[in-house]
Amino acid sequence: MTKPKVAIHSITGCAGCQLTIYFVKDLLLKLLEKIDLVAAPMLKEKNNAGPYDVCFMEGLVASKDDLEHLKKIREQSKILVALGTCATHGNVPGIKNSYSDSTVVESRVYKNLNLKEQIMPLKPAPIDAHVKVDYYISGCPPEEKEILKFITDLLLGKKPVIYDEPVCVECSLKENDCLLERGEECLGPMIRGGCDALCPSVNHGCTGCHGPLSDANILQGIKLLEQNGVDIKLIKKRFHKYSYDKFSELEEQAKKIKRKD
Amino acid sequence: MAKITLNHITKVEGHANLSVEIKNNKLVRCELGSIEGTRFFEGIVVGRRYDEIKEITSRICGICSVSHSMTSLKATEKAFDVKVTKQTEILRELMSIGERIRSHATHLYFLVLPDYLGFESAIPMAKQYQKEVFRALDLVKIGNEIVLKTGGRQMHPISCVVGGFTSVPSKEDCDYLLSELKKSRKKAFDTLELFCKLKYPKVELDMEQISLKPETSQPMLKGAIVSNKGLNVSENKYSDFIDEKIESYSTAKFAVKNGKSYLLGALSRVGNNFECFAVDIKKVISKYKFIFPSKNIFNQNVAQAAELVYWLDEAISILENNEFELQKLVFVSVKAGTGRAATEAPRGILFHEYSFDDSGNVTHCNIMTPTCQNLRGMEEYVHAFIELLLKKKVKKKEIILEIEKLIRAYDPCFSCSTHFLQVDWLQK
Repeated sequence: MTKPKVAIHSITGCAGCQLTIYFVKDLLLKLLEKIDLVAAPMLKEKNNAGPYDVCFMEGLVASKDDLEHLKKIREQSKILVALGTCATHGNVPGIKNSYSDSTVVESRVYKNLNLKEQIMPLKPAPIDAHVKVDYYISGCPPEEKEILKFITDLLLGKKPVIYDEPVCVECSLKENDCLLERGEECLGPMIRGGCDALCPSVNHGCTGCHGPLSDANILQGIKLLEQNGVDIKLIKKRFHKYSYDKFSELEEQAKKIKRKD
Repeated sequence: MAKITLNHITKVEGHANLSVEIKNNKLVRCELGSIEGTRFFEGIVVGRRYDEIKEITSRICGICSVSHSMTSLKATEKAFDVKVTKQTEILRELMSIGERIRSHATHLYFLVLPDYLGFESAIPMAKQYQKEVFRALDLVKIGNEIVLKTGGRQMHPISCVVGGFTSVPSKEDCDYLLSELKKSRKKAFDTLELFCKLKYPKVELDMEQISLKPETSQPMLKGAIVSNKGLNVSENKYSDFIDEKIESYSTAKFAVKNGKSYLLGALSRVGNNFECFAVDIKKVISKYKFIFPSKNIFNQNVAQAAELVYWLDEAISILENNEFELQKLVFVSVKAGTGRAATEAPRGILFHEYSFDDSGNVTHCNIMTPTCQNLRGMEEYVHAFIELLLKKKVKKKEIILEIEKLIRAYDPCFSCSTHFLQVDWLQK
């Protein structure tokens, strides 16, 4: 069998998702036995253009340069995987979208924003705002076991299935104390797990870095936190932190359903 | 007139651009800038509550997320006069050591070494130099494990919060780390020997070398800001002498001190704190005839390798002398005020500054990353190196390779401010 041609490309971000792959000895070596890593500019000097069988794309669209690079890579990739919460949900740079006037945020950083056109800011957005995405592996950073499972499924010729249960499922299996029951702040019920309830396991509420479940019950989530005395404005900020656009969309849907009821 | 564009200088962290113009075999323009998209961290934290600022600013950078977290917590706590416990300070230092070890090991073995051994990357290098690549992966792993056990996650650590830790490493975790660190000590020493044996070019500039200086150790989370030119000020005073300039070709700002470039990072740290190294580290360095302080930017690779050994020993010492217990978080009484903090990230001094209103929401934020501060100096080193190479009539292709080596020796992190460095080469 010929090894699948795999690429790891990136646009604006922190490089943490790639590092998750490079950092793990066992994972990296296992992967390199099975795949042909033809492009990974952070790690390699020689980086081939596509076609790629699979391309992992890290980062969010924040400039024209990003957008052009993303579109080019999409054309060259049979399977495009959005890797990490920047690519899947826009991550914290998306907080900027909570302002109706983006120049308010921009002017706090650059007094006169006068950059070359290629690097002038675009509205921060997950990559599926601009191109078709085949799979989403969220997480900030994404979990190595999810990346490994994804590649294993592909190598076995199975259609990869991405875990889509709330953080609470794994948290209960680990028999952690429920932080919500203890009266604390935790976004676990609305957030996609796959992380083995990482944060609650170190006694810290889930802050939502995997982004919301596809069918997150937002109104119930807000209620749970309100019961624990969290101010509604703060709850919204917490929800929006990693996935402003997605949470806003879910909130709108929930309101519509409520009106119908 | 010929315009040459070389795309994708690789094996650096983040996205950047180098534009070079040569006329009659003389360099007339050299501009190095970050083309990483803007994320406006200093803008998006405004209006948000103090207890999530570290979590947001950690996302500036994957490879130095611990440094951003630690600096953010320190600045926030200063604003509210929160005094953390000795144990919290020790655990934060230990976590930072973990990051320092993995960052240096990643940089030295995966980004630097292939250039000197003649490989395009560590992947083909692994066939011939398996021992070295495995050593690198082991060192990265122990660094990662330290961050994981102390921070709850390898990247963007969780359990370190304003006022302390939500969870601490167990006795088993500490025993495991200690035994792994002891096994890694020889690997760190072998790394130092290896990087002392490589042949480096010599490019020297008389640039001010700035670092933190604690009294008795190499710098990590504290110390006054000092330089080889007599600077000695507290971290609160950094904005008195550092200005940030904007150039249209870069999303990262350029920091200058009184109008001049300066150098941060391992070369400055080691130069300013050389006496703090243990005898055995000094011995290896002198055996291979390296002298610190040094003005040759390529010696940064050796400085990083020496730090690798030093910090590994420090981690061992911390774990041999401490047991950790879960402590209550220090109560935070929010008030209006400003906190400024400086720490040594793997690439040099990192500044975070926040002002808060009386409900604990951020009203102003300023962050200066090491790469932003090093950018102007990096440009000057590239400039000097190209002139040197042009004088020696080195061919263009080789010049580009050599510039890449220099930029990698600088260890830039363009997320903090390059997965690609695009070189525009304009020859007239």
